[in-house]
Amino acid sequence: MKILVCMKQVPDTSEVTLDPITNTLIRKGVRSIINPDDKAGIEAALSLRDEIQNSEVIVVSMGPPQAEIALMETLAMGCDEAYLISDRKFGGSDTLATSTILAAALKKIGFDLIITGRQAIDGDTAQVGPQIAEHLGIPHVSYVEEFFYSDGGDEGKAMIVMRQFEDRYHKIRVKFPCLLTAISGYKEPRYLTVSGVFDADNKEIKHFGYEELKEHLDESCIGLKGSPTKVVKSYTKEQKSQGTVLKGLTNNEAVEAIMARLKEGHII
Amino acid sequence: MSKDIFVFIEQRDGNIQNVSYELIGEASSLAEDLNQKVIGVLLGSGIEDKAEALIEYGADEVIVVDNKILKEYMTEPYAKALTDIVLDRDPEILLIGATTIGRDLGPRISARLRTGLTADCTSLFIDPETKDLHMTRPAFGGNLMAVIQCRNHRPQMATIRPGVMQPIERDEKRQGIINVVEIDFSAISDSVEILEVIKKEKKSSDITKAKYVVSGGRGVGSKENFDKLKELSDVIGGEVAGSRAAVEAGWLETEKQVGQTGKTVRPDLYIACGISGAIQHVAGMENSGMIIGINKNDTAPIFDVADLGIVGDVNAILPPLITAIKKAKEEGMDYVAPSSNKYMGMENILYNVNNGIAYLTINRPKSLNALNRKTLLEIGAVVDLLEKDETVQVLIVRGAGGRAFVAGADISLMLDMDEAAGEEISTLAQSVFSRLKNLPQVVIGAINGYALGGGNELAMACDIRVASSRAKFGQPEVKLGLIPGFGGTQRLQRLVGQGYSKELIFTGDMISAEEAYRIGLVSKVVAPEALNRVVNDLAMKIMSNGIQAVKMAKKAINEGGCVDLENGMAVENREWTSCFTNDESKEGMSAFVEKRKPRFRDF
Ligand SMILES: Cc1cc2nc3c(=O)[nH]c(=O)nc-3n(C[C@H](O)[C@H](O)[C@H](O)COP(=O)(O)OP(=O)(O)OC[C@H]3O[C@@H](n4cnc5c(N)ncnc54)[C@H](O)[C@@H]3O)c2cc1C
Ligand SMILES: Cc1cc2nc3c(=O)[nH]c(=O)nc-3n(C[C@H](O)[C@H](O)[C@H](O)COP(=O)(O)OP(=O)(O)OC[C@H]3O[C@@H](n4cnc5c(N)ncnc54)[C@H](O)[C@@H]3O)c2cc1C
Repeated sequence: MKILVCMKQVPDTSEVTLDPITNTLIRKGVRSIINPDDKAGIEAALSLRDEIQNSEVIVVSMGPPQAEIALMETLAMGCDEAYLISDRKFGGSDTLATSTILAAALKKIGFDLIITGRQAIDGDTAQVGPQIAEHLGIPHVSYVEEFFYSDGGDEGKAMIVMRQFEDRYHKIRVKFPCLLTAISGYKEPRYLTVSGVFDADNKEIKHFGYEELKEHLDESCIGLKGSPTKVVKSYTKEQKSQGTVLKGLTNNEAVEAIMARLKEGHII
Repeated sequence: MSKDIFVFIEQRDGNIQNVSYELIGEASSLAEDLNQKVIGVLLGSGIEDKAEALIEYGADEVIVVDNKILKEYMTEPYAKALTDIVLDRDPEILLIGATTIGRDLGPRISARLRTGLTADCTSLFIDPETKDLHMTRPAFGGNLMAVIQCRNHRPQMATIRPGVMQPIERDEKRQGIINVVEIDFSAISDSVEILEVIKKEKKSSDITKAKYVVSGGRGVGSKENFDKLKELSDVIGGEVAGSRAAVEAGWLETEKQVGQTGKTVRPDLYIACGISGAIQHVAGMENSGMIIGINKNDTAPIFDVADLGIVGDVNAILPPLITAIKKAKEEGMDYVAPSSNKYMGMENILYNVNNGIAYLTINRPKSLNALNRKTLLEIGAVVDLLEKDETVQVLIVRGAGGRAFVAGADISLMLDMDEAAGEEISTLAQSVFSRLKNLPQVVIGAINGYALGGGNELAMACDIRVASSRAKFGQPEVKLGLIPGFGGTQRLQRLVGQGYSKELIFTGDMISAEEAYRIGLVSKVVAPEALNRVVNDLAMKIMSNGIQAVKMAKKAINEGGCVDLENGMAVENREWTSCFTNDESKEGMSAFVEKRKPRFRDF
């Protein structure tokens, strides 16, 4: 079985800070990491591979050449193959265009099961997974917390997954081919192994650009031109600046200050 | 042509989810700007009778698909039904709650329709010129706000974060159309099947519905200390919540986590105890009414969002605080903390000062900030303070809540007024507004919503008015058989001329922010989310100039407005002359000659 995992290399947003003077994001020196939900997806894929005979895990990432570093890391985690999808023409893609390009690449590689992360921590949209599934005309289940494989007797092979909602879970059976979006739990993904790192050095990252994918792509649906949404402006959040910070108070003074506000706000 | 604003109505077990009422509220205000209708799309099983409530909350029409296959949420049947409806009706805008349902359904449909989708928006507004939708959303874990447009594709789709928009008040008399439609689900394959629905236990109450939230982080230190937070929330009638660190430490259930990966809350009061204020946490609570932060570390980022920050040990402060509140409750409302702040008595306005800028916020959002006697008196009290306060250079006047600056005088209070009471209130308002206008400080009105009647009159008493594109202006008194009584007949004509002024007052018509800009009633119109920033920037810009000169210019303009040209010139001459008596002008001119920036703030 061919398990494809989509992986995005992202800046570690918990390390992103604001420049206090220009009030812009400082991206320089911020670590690039494998998107956390994608790490959970890779982990799920590798566990499935351990369980299902004749299966392989192939990682696909679209991004600039630097994304090779993250792809190397996935190989070191034990993934079998890695593809980098990169082309000038792909730049500026919104989620619709990104999912169109990824769908073309996945189609070209071939798949039984696709796993994406639920959400990338930089773009934060959580849209790419379901959109890929729609382009490929296959069902998807998002917000998947647990993955089980069932070779299912009469019912046929399928995935049994736990789909999370705010107030409930659905236990869902979904037949192949399908796409699942994974959420990172508190479970630690596997670490790089020495042999994995060694193997990774012997593996090569494969490259697809526009030329390789054009049989599956309409040029008007990719890149900036093929993106219906445009970021027209971005700004760092303004700091709410009317607050008062009181320092060096005794406990009683602190209580008084809070009481005054509670009264002012008609809370007591 | 595409038209109308469609809202996907989310129900679970037949219960309409709050986010849907919020979206209808938001859609109503967009619909007003576009002059279009709000249409709810309700999908479910056995839910037809729920459509009525949606109309009472502001929908003009509800399209209902009632089918067993829609009982529990499943992507394909929902996507099929909603897509069929969109293809049939061609909406201008489609809004979906950014829940685990909406964020599954939204992208699937957007790809099917090949249109754009903006994720997890926190603010929407219609561009007054192009009529396109501007969608603002956080990205990079809340570090960055992006404004997104979808100009060439329809519908413009967005998922909207729950808890952010405001529902409008339910009106049981509101009328609308309920339209039950059939969808053909026969082509849906059996490749996805729900084997089991497992409800998460509702052990605890819902923090998103709480009026007050007492929230704890790692700094609380232990599960035992968390009991104190519970005790505090009990005495004020609120709920306990916390940061992810508190949840991970096992002090709190996951449902109580506030933040990017937890719940978004907007209670009237949020007390953050031992929480550092990481951006992912702040994303879930920054829209709370009042934020009080208690933290040992004076550089903790929680203080950037707190209205009141206390640097101290939370475990030492909470016990006496709980005692004090209990005592206050026993003694009735009259507990006055020994050295409490001097603005404490105010009920209807908030007043803060920061770096030379004072903020006066009319704070009765539930009554759309309508002016009553007490509010006028409290504005008067602030004017008293400001007349003597030389540390404040600019006063910003604004309205709390998203909908109104000030929607007018409180009509319920005027119902049984006699002649004498009527005269008294007009005299009071006129005098407070005139004193506001004549303050030595520069007064800027930040008009975020309705500025009607007394609200427009208050706005006109400001030196400068900046409006959000959502603001609406008018003097509707004649509709009630009254005339403007807080300065409207006099100030409006001085700002926009007699002709327009008469038309506005005689018709009682409401005009848009654009129109107000066109006639010169306001000097800028900006996106709603940019209003505070623009007004702040304006204040800072003014303060970077020679502030004494600004004050004298204000005096010359104000006085000149009341006299004829010749006398006005005399006023200017007097103020000009007095510029030479202070050091500010010397500094300004020397700096110019020496080609350097003046250092006005030294004087
Ligand atoms: C500030 C800002 C705001 C934006 N807002 C929007 C918006 O509202 N709507 C919109 O359509 N676009 C938006 N975009 C564009 C969007 O971020 C990009 O299209 C991005 O490439 C994909 O979206 P995402 O990061 O949100 O991924 P998500 O949809 O959150 O990612 C989900 C999963 O899809 C897979 N995936 C995503 N991208 C890749 C990739 N490059 N390679 C491999 N797998 C991938 C991963 O498995 C990932 O976990 C925005 C961009 C910026 C900079
Ligand atoms: C993708 C992602 C999503 C996330 N989502 C969320 C989310 O939804 N919600 C969330 O909360 N976090 C979230 N986080 C985690 C977030 O980044 C922070 O790590 C977390 O909020 C920290 O919790 P804290 O403030 O309780 O702990 P800390 O950051 O450890 O802060 C503890 C604070 O307590 C103070 N303190 C210590 N002792 C005392 C005392 N005796 N009295 C007073 N103060 C004291 C300290 O000065 C410190 O400021 C997310 C992170 C990531 C990467």
